[in-house]
Amino acid sequence: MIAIDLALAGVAVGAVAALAGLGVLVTYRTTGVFNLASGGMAMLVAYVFWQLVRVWHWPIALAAPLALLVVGPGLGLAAEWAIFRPLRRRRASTSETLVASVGLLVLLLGLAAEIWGLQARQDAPTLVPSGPVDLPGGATIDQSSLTQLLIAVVAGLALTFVAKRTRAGLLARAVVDERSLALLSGVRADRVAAAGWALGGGLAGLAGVLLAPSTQLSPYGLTLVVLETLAVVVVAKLVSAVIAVAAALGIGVAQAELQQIQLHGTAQTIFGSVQSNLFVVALLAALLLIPRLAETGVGAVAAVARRPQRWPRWSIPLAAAFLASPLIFPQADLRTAQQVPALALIFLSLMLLSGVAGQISLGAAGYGGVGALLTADFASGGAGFPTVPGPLALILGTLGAGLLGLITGYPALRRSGLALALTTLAVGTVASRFVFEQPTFTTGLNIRTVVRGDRTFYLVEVLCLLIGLGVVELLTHGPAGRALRAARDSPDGARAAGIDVRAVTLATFAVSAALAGLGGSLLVQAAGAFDSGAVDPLHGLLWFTTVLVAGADSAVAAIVAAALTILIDAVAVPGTSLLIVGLLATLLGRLPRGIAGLADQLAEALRRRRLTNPDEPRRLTAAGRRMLGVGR
Amino acid sequence: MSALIAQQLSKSYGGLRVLDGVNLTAEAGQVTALIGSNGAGKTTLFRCLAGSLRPDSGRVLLSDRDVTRLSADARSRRGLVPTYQVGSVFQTLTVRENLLVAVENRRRFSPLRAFAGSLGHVVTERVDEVSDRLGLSEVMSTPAGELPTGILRLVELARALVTDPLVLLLDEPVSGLDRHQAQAVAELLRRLAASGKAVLLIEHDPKFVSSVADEVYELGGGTLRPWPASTSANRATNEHLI
Repeated sequence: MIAIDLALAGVAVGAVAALAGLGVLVTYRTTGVFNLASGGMAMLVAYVFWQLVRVWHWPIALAAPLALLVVGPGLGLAAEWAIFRPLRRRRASTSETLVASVGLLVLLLGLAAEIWGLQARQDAPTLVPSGPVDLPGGATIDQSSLTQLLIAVVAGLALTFVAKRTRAGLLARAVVDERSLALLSGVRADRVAAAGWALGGGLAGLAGVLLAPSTQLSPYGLTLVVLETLAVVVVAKLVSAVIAVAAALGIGVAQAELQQIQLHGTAQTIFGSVQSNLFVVALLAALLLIPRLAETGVGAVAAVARRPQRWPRWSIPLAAAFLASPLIFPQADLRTAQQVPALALIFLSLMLLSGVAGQISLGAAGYGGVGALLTADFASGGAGFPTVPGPLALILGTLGAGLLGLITGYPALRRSGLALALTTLAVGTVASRFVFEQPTFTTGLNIRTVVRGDRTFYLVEVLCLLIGLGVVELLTHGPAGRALRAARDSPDGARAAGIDVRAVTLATFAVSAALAGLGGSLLVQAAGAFDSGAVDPLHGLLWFTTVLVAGADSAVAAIVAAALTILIDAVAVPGTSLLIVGLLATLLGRLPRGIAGLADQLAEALRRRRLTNPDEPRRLTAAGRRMLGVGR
Repeated sequence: MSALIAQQLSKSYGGLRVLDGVNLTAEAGQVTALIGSNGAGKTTLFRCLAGSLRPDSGRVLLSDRDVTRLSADARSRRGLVPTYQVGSVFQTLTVRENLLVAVENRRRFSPLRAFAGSLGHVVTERVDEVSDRLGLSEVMSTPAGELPTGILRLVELARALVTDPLVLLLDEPVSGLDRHQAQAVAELLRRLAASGKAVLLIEHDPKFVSSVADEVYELGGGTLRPWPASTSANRATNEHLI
């Protein structure tokens, strides 16, 4: 039985989801970039609106146009000009633009955290005042809900009209389908892209401002809510604005209507989770049911992978001293340092999957969280698990995360690029919403370290890290590493060489998830408590970006990045590490191998300078000459 | 016993029937070639034979064993090794590593072996022997991504040869090669056939085909028919054309 009042309430939620989805869709259809940063843009515009109204006491009539017509579109234009235009000009692959958009998201999160802090604010101003409006038949709808519905429907129809019936829409399709031909035909591709980004930013901002009063205004919280509405873009197969709006309204209404159904006990807990997270469920279901999205752009081949680098000899004693140094730290600093080997293991898992196997995985936080929960449950006999000794619990937790990786690796067999990135993000989000945030799984957990004593625990962590390094080394440089890189470089060629690409892919996902699970377990034990916020999906995005910024082909870079992240978080204001990683991520278009790659280039340049005999003609490339600052 | 037999292979895309009951035999010790115009279905047939595409009906037999339901990698491990028209060389691996990968994966992947694997000298000898034969010794330590197209075709061929295949499947093996390189490949294929291998190549260049093949079939309208100029005698007279 459909309740009209619930349906109308659901329409309001659906309408905002539709606006957020349309923002992503319009940017994608005009530029070929799937803007994962849309949630960050929405959140930042909502914060600016809050600042104008609540802090500077501007009237809404002034604050709203500034936030929605200047800041939102301006964010889109700035992102296009600074990050995505250079990438487009060198025909960067889908994976590279996706990574750049994740980097932009991290940057926006960092900016918001730096300016406004990480705490949630409950006083987000409403754009449209509330008040009942009578409908024919006796039902009433809230004035703001009605406005949101009208905006969403008009926006959807207008975008469809522009895309299909106007010259602007034709030009946009031409630029996305074949940029070079469109340029030859006199189309100003940069203008089309700028318009797409401005519109995308504007719609994201509008969604953020409309959502903030009903959810909570916090950097992570609001961003995540907007990210979950990506479900409607996936249901629309990245193509149809009308389907996106219809899907959003449908999910919104269904979510509201399901409130009528009341079950008992555990069934109600599960059902209640599904009901309140219907967009997340729809996202995962749509991704699993639609293996091929109508992807555009210049190829969905994973482009983050490079030739893995070996450890320089000089770095091994340095790394050993570096890892041993916390043993002489005071107690409080040692506690902080305990997070380093744990985070390094998570970074290594991402290095293996992204840097070596070339797969984009945005769900590392999910595996980390599952490993941590299972370890805690086995160690303390929680959630019906048998109690086992700490070290065995750690092993079982690691294996459990590996098993989850094996299962979730199956979608990767038929997906690449954007579809795989979104699927892993959805898996991480489902794990967060349905497991980590559920009291059934997380209350009463007795989190304690697997061994007693802070120094002993740190030594166990270092031992785990060394094991992780050994596994990564074997999977990077031995026969297994060759098979892995062969499967990444050319799946057809790998099959021709007798490699079972399915088995290799699944094994990599499982090993990577196990490493993340081990890291997650140690991280939670070092913290002494299970905090669902520490393993939410946005952390998966942040960790992925950090590994790419540090250099996805280098284990050394993964460890150094973990140490720096923990150090910065310990000494600087919250959000500083986010800001630094985000800023560096915007340079990834120019530094495809990250900081480690830059360090390699500099070392190589210095080596060549030493070897160059001044009496002989120099045989340097143009890039080499520039780097050394020498003439022809 | 024929090395490779295709029986009644059919494949349709939507309503378009690309292969319509194709029968084909590739004998050991012979070079068999398929020609056909663009869109005739050569690549579809190639992929059905290699295992990267499942036919709607029909069977593929390798040394009288039905391999129709086996994946491409399983067929490769049993000796049916393809090389592709679009480069499928592993760009971030050196030439030596490209060849080692093929030798190391003659048996099915297992996690235990993946961790344990170590190389014996026999493997290295085989890699060196094949690379010498194809003139690749100079570039063995170079990442494949830094090599020109012509050399990459040879690397791909070497990767197939290093596994000592029963049947060598080649999709347009001389596209992108200059005359001298094409001639060298033709001579190599003849020598391979003479050593007892079955060589099956798909090519659109009739001159090259007639210079190297013992049997030539033409694919058109979804079916195969013998091509008139397919005799060993013609091969000798046409050799100057490549």
